Amino acid sequence: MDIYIDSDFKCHVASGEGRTQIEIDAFDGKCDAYTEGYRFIPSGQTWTRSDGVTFTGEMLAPWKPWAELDAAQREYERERYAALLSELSEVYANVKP
Amino acid sequence: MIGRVNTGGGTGGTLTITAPANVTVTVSKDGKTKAKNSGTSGVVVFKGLEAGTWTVTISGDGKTAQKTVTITTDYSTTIAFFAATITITYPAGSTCTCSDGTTTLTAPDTSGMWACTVPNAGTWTVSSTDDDKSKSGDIVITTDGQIESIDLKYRLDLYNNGETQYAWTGDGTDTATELIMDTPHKLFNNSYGDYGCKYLADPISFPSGYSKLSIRYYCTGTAQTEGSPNRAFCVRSTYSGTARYSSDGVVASVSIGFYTSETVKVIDISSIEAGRSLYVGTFYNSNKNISNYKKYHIKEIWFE
Repeated sequence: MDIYIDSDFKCHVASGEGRTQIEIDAFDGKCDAYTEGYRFIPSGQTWTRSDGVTFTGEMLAPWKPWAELDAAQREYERERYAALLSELSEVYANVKP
Repeated sequence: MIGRVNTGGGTGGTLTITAPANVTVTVSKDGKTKAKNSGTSGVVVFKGLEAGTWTVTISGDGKTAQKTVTITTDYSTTIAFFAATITITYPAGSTCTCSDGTTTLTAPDTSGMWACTVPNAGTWTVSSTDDDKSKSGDIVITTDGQIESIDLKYRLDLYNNGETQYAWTGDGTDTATELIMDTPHKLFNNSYGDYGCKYLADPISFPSGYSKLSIRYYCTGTAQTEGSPNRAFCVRSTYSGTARYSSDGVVASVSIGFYTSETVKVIDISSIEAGRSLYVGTFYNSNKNISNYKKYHIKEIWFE
């Protein structure tokens, strides 16, 4: 999928001013809240954390507490599962014996 | 009744004792004794008493009574035009200092906790050392009364040139000093080979106080000439089944390319909470033909 990274390498699901489009499969199946809690540093680029430590790409790491992102993804998957079950129920209801 | 204790430093304290009239009043400490009669007023004053605990005794009419009183003659206090506090946590047993390049302060003990008062604004470098281990960090002080904190920790090794307390598993035959991650001689399109992962056999509880996870490694063999295999050092929630060979369950990762000299790659783990049960390791994912062989020699993996 395509994501968009800003000048601080934070990920976004929508394009915007100053954002660079990146094709990446790490967020396939992930909800927007999960994706936008991550930072992606492309190969050949460097990011300097506020404490002065530098990280080189390709690096993928959460910038929001990962527990929150994990919880959001699990909720998203529960909702998807419920929706699929509902769709399946409709299909079975319409199947002629 | 024992009365006021007048203190003030200099030539000692003054003890005023109110006692029954016409009794002998004695004060003693460390073998020194002074005695006076309380007279009709019952008030006796002893001057020039040194700081410490004195025993006061009254006697008369065949009766005796005794009590102690503590005399404090010296006081101390600190006053400054500027004072800020850096609350420092450092490994117990270590020597800790705090310096702005001009003034160096040293922790009063090696307890691992120090509320350091700095006398001026500036960038203060807090350092902890213990034999060959050391860690430092900078704190910027700008305001009188400012309070900051810092937690210094030495690196925590998961693997260090053959030394480890953890079981490692995966692909490749390790040596006494290296974890070896073999890469396959050939993979076929759209199928995953059984080579290319090295990881903790069991997840660990993510430790607190660390903000980066690093790997030191080098490669042997020939560089990849075909396809674009994805090799990465990672933190992940699972290594089961085919997840080993994909990005499923990856929490954070950094690519580890082909380097014939030792190189270090680092993952930012500052947003991965302590206590999470997670794996650390490498993974390999390719659906390309690979016609050349290369091997990863992992020397060290550590938290810092």
